[in-house]
Amino acid sequence: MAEFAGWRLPLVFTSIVEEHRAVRERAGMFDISHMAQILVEGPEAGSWLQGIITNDIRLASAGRGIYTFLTNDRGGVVDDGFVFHLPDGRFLLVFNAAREAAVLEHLRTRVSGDVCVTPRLDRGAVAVQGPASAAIVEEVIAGSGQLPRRGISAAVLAGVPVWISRTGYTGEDGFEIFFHAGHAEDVWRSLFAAGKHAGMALCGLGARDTLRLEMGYPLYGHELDETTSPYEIGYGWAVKLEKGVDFPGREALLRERMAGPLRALTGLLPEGRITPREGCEVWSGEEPAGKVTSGTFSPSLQRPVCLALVSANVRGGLAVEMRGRRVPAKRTELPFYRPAGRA
Amino acid sequence: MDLSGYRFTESHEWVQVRDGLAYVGITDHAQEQITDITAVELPPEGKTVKAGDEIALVDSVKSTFSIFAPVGGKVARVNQAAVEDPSIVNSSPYEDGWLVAIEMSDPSEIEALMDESEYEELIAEEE
Repeated sequence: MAEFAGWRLPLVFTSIVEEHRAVRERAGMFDISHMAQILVEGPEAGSWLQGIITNDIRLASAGRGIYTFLTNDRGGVVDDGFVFHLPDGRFLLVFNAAREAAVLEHLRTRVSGDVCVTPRLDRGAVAVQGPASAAIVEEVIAGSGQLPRRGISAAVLAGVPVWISRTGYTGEDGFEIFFHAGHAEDVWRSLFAAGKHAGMALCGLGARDTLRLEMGYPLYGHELDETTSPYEIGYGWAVKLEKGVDFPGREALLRERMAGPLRALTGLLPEGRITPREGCEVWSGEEPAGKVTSGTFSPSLQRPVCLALVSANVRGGLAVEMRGRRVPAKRTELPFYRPAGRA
Repeated sequence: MDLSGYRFTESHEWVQVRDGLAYVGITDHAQEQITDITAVELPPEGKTVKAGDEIALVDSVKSTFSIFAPVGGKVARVNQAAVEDPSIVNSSPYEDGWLVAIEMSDPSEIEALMDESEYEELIAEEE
């Protein structure tokens, strides 16, 4: 077990590598109840959110979700997460546990008009991820296989009313299921039983991190903080400067897009078998070029991989410093690993 | 497994004297905590170390762990098999997965280390 943002979370059930492989090859289930669930409702909720988030809320029609950032006035990231437009018209925001207070502050200081922002501390969530997840979830929620990518709908699982979305943080097909925390055990047991014969593993935070890292997905506090912009991590696609509505950070982001970001999130493949960890210096010859933001031994590639924020104007070969030694590291395109059957 | 001939450190290394050399590895408890070991870095043979010096690195999917010399002396042998297949440190921490063998400069140092029952107490306290 590990402490994480005030929650006690399982880091690993059996082995990070076994749990990771189960998700890539079959399926795995994660308790993601720590994620912040915030409900935004009221007749003006949609138009208000449009003036808060970086993405375009119109892309989230009822029953769809979008990935977005919340940015501060300097264009730095307050948090990243999903905004789901529920079929009943309300909006469910799913953001990072460690940023819940900052997100609520960001939203509440900007509330205007007929909008109500409610943190749902009474909610739990689980994720079922992997190529077999659709077959498993279909057993407990008939018709869930029809959900489009990033779609969300209401359903009943083991007698429990839930929201189910086709989203995840692993790069595989998968679902996230949101419910009242009092029903967590029923939901967990029911999915566990459905997944048993499909070889579904129970997965901890460790595998969640190696899976997202192979995909090059950012994790707040590592690739993202209040001084890092969406452009620096290569996520400009989630910033819609031309949506016709101002939002916090828009002006700064507009300037940054014109000038080009100063740093670029870069995938690196270091030589050898030792894994660079967060904070390791990145060098371009004798010049410091940046820092490693996350590193792991990739179970799929069977080699160390890392993400680094590197000066955008640096060209050519890089080296990562580990324990006083500089190890050459090759730049590579992200994701590090492309799941079979997914674009 | 019979660990009566083994001695243990607070940083979860074991040491056992075999044919006059102090063989060093990590304990079963340590490999369980470290989980999936992906790489092992060992010192060059002939290197002189003091008790408490960092002598090896064990890298896992989780993190990088320093391994400290339980006793001082000269590194006489290193386990190349563990470098080539680090998973043996997980599967056989007390035997195939040993890391280094030290020619002790002061064999009495080993007496200061914990025996099996003292080490078991330490683990119980940590948990």
